[in-house]
Amino acid sequence: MRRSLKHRRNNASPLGSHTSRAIAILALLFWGACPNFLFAQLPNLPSQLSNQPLEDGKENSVEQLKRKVEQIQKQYQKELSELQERLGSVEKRQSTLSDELGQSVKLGGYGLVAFEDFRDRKTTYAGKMELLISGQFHDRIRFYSEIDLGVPHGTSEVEQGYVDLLLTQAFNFRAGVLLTPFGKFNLDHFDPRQDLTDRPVVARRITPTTWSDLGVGAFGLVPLGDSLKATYDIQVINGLTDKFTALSQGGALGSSTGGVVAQDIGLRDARTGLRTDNNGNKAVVGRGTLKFLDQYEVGVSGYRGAYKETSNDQIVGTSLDAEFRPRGVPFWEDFVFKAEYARFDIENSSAPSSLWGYYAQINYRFWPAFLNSTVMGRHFSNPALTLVGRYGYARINTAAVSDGKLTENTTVIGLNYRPVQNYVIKVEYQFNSGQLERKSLDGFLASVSWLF
Amino acid sequence: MSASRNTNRRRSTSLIAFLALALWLCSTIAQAESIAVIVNKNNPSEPLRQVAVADMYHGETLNWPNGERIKLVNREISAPVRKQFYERVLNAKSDEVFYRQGTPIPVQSVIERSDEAVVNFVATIEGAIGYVSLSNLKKIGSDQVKVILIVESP
Repeated sequence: MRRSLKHRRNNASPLGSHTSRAIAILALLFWGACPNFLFAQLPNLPSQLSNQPLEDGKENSVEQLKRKVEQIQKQYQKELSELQERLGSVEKRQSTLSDELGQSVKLGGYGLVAFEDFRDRKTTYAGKMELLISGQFHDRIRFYSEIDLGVPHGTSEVEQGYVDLLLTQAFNFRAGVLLTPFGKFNLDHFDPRQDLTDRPVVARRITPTTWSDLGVGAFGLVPLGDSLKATYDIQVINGLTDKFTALSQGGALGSSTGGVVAQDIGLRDARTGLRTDNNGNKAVVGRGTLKFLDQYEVGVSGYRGAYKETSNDQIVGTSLDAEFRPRGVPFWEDFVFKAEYARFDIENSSAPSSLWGYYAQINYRFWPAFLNSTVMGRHFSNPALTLVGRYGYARINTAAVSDGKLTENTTVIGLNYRPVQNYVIKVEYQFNSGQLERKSLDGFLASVSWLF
Repeated sequence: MSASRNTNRRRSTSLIAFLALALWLCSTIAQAESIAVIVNKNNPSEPLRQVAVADMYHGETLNWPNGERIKLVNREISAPVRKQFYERVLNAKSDEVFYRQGTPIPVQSVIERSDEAVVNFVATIEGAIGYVSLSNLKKIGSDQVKVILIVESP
């Protein structure tokens, strides 16, 4: 038993010593080969594990890593700035492309919702929605359309739909459904561009705004000096017919906002409505302007055309208009002055024989600073309030009434708020006297209109 | 006694009024900066007159003499440089909208939010024209674009 134990001890002991030696050799080899690696991976080893060469190696590694990080940062910055540059370039090209696309076809529109409350009449809402489509299908050919969507009357119609051949600054050719260049108001009739809801009586009963017709024309601009420019717009159109009205039947008269409409007294019903000409004679209409310093504009318009089916009797019209926007003049630069006069004479007609009228308007634009901190100003970069005063007069000479004339004069005081240029809320009060449209009924109007 | 007091008061009032006026004038002059009108470096146009630049922004001139379409660059409505450019070059308020000759079509322009962005755009796009404050252009570096008009401060 003792022998067997001894034998077992003798047998085990050489194997154990060999194993121990092998483990010791491997440990030494491992220790000698990888100490730096081990210390680099374990920076927080207890102090008894570190020694001077290890610390030097550690610092070198940190320095190397720092240099690498700096290199990577530099490379990254370089690549980032290159990418930003490329992105900027792409954005600009995209912007130009969208600009080009915008030039090609642009869809827009304008709308109006108006409320009116006139003494002894029921209150009403009226509205207007118009679609605007413009664009260029060649660098020198552009088109423009304004389509009334028929709110509230239910019948849509083209108010403008023409194509321009752009030849030179001084001469360009236009054809299609043309806005008649007679007076400034007819050409600039968009509701959001106006400062009062109601149009002046002269622009409704004398000049039948919105007045457009089928035809062809030419327009251009001629510089007469650094500060003076002349423009012209001349058209050959079907022209007015003999469907004008001197006296309303039934007494109810029209409203430009569509509120109370029965029969359109004046020249409104004489418009062709884009039908074919009632006679073979074409009418000629045109407007010329002089613009001084791009602030003061004076315009002269003329119209001449046969109106009957069977004779050559003429309607002859003239108009004068002015618009002053003083700039750089302290105090006055916040004012705008507008005025327009129009007259039509009808040959061989007694009801009516002639029609004329005018309006004068003054706008004062302001913005009190305290409103900047309110909801009216907080979210907008350039909001404005405009105080407006207008006086208008119209007269229709007609044998249909005993004293030979129908007149109306209107004084309007209004205020409007524009948070941005193309959105406006208007309120106004009218003082009316006469027999044409509002008669002697005073009333309140308010509207919201927008353009995009 | 009271007459001399009145005279003194009047003098003081005049002095204060004069100082206020001088201060206002100084602040007005200090606010006004020279404006540089810039175009792309490859634009062959010679230096332009102020009227010619105004005609472009008014929508009356649509093409460069070489036939390329003019691409207008504007700053946002609230930018001081736009206000000055509109007042001094276009005779208009900074939010005024111009229309293409004989139409109700608004003149279109690219709106950039900084002078640097205007310079970058004009430097990238041939046919572009923009305006920046002259002092900013010097900081940004005018070698990327061509200065075609300088509107001096009044």
